[in-house]
Amino acid sequence: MSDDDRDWFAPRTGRNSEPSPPPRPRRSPRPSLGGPPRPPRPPRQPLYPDQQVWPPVPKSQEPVGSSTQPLPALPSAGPLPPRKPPAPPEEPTATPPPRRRRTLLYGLGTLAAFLIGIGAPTVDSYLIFKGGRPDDKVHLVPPGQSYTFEHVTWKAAIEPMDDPVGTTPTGPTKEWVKITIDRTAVDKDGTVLTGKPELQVKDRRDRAWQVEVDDDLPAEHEIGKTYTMNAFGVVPTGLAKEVELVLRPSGYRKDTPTEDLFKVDPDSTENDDDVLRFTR
Amino acid sequence: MTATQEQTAPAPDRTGRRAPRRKDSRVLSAVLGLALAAGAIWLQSIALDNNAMEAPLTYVGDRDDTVDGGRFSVKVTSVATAKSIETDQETVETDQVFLVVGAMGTVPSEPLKLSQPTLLTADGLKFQATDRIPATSTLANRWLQPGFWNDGYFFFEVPPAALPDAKVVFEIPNSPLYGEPLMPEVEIDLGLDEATAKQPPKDVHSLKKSR
Repeated sequence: MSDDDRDWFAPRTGRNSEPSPPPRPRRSPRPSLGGPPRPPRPPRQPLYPDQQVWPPVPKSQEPVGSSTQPLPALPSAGPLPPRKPPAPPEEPTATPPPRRRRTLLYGLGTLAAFLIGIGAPTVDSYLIFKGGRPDDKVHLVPPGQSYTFEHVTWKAAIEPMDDPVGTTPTGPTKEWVKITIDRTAVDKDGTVLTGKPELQVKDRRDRAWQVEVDDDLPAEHEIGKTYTMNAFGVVPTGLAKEVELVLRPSGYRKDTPTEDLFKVDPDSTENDDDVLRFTR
Repeated sequence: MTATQEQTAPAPDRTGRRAPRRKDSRVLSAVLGLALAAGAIWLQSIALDNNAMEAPLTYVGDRDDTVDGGRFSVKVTSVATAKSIETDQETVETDQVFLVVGAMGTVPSEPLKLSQPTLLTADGLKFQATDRIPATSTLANRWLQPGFWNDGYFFFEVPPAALPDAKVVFEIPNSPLYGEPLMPEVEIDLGLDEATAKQPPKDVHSLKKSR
């Protein structure tokens, strides 16, 4: 069986059967012969396999049958352009940079995962925390002036006072302040918004002191009539002339029916975020 | 055949260089993976459970120390035992012993009131402050405010055996709806050893005098 008779992918039976073309330095390791018998092909011109002539192939590096590419070279294609020289320098330059880049990527990924893992629950908890304690909307009231907020006009004054009769002496570290608050209903809604306001006094550093309201106002209010209530607090000595009143009006309406007292109105825009700060 | 021949030449060289490296890195990867997995399992084992996550942050101190708990500071100034306590309205007696803890407190910026404290004994028992003395007679009724200290008493009704090495834990109330996860608490060692704990309690501790 000759080389020309066998199939391209058929195993080779032996080299002896190859025809001997003009003498060459070495025979190409052509994918071998043999295999199942084939129907004889019509005779044609003998086709000699491609052979590398130049540069000479070192014998040791070319074991017979080492080719993994069973396609025969096309005789008409001519010699291939030399590809050997550019190949080796490609390998060392190509591999290290991707590695370094990947290390950086891994580092950044780890850092990002760490930050997200720590940060996401923190932000979530903070949002829940903030959801229950919205920031106050502070309405600054110029010194000595009144301020109308939602149906009621408020006016406040703070003055130092002596220890009230019947209390334990405060000593040298603290002193009493007396706060006078005037409230006037602007309209009919104002006459039913009679809830006790929440009071604090704050200094410039935003430290706060609790104030107790002495609320003995009449139950029924009239539109346009001013009602005065007094509040008392204790602050460190020297701050009585500095502290400012922070008043949080109550949203409680006196005409709320008893069965609606604990009703939650989801559409209500009323909340207790608004505070009036009477500057001095 | 030229193409295949040209490629066969560098091929054995490449694989020969790479094969051992790949083996090494495979072993390394396996070791690293095992280490990471072991680390993850170990981390799970030391992770805090729900109770621990919700526990407050504890600031520890001794009697007569000012213990700063962040949002409030507390100092225990006196510790006494008594068989009965005389309030403005009545005299409350016990067949155990009343532990009277005198304390003072202040806050850095926001005024607040302390909750009724807890007594933590040496063997891990917890005693809530007694409700036989009205809370209005205790320090829990007074605002702690910035700039000065307010003082008062807390009362526990406990068996005498609970006294040695007992500690008082002061807390502040948390919002029931939007509770904070990491509330501060102050734990103060009352400095009661066996000898001082065995001293006989006073007959009457009067709140009228101290007020």
